[in-house]
Amino acid sequence: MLSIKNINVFVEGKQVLKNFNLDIEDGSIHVIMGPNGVGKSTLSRVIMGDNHYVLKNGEIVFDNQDITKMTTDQRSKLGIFLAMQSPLEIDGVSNQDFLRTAMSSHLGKQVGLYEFIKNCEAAAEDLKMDKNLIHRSLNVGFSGGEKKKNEVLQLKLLKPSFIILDELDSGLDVDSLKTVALNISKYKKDNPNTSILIITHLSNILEYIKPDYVHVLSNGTIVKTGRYELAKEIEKKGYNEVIGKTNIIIGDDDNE
Amino acid sequence: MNKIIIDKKIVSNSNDIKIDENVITFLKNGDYEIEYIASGEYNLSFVINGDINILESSFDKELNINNRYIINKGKLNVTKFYDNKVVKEVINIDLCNKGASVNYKFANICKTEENYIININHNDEKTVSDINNKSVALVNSSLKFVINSNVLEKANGSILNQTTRIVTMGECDTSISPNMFIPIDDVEARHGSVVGTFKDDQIFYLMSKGISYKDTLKLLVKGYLLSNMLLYHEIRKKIIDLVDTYWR
Repeated sequence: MLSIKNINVFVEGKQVLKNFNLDIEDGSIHVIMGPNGVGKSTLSRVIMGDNHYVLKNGEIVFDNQDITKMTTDQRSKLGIFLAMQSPLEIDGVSNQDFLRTAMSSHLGKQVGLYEFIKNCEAAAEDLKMDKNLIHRSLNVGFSGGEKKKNEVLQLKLLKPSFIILDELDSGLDVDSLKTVALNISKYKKDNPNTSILIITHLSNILEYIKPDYVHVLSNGTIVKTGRYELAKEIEKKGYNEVIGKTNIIIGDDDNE
Repeated sequence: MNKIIIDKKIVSNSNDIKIDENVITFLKNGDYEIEYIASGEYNLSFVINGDINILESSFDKELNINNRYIINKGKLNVTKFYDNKVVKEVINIDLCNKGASVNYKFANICKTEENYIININHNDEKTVSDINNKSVALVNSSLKFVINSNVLEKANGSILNQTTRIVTMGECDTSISPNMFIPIDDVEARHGSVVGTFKDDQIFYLMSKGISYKDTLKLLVKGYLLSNMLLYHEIRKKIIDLVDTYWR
């Protein structure tokens, strides 16, 4: 599915990811955990092709294609979806126009209004989301939870095969977290080959979306890999104790 | 909607306005549409004595305009959209009496050369002006705004706002000069001027959902030009079609 091979990533001359490697197989769920500022969100941006992040060597392969030089929209159309930590507010651009344009781009043809509204309203209902938000300016005046639900709404409409959830749990209350996480779980169940990369510094979301692998990121590189239990250990002891104790790899992941 | 056609002469079938040479007096509160359908020089005065909404538009013309809005009382809302060849325009807004108010919203796509001077004269106390300009300057175009808010000494308690933003779509010659001449303390004034491109973060966000760069620009330009503009369907559709043509 996705293979990141030995990448070094710089932002404004500062190195953020160092000799970073990660392999994500079809249908698997990986988690990148780590305290603030260690490069977690950078990873999501690099996979999606944000050109503010300079990739100096290495490559990113998705479904056997080198996507390193592909534009952001090309990556999306291949099936990669990034649910952003802080979805942008864009005044004047209606959510409806945005969603319909995105759907049409993915399908390669104009989506009919009836089909679009039908899909949109069904997805909004699943997410317990106010349907009027579809007609408002994109994310403008949305609460933190509504913005995150809008990201998951996009996910449900665009039907990706690889999902990156960047700090999805931030800004969500307990009930909203449960709703969005259950929607993602349902999507995963309906599309078992879909892979998920969860980026988080808390383990709350993992109560609902159980990971196959948990990686701990520190100073731009993965320093520890394990199973779900590693996330629970971090929750109990904190990053310093877990990272500082040992660098041995737990579980059977052989990426490092 | 009362329609006023500005050709070589002023034409209207509305009984709600009085036309006296180049002076148009609005006799009743309500909505009016003004369209410049011929290129040329215009020197018009609009006399406002109540709550009037004017929608002005012009497409594909060469205009040299020197117009005046005389607001004796009430509130004037102007919503204006231009997509012309060349424009040289001076607008004078006189807030003549206590409480007179104007909300002026202008949007345009600049293709070659356009110069705008907007003079707002606060001639009495508690007058209010809210001036918003938003432009898209195409590559190699020249676009200049000079906005002068003038406050008389007796215009205590007045409120002034000027906001102008130009989005550049490549190399072009643009400038905004926001001026406020305020000789008294009891005035609330704000201004903001921005020249630049759309934010990279916005472009990345839209493209990350599979939308091509070209379609991303279309969405952003449409959103930018149409937001907060009270346009009826026909003009709105015309603007959307224009954007689709320019960013084909």
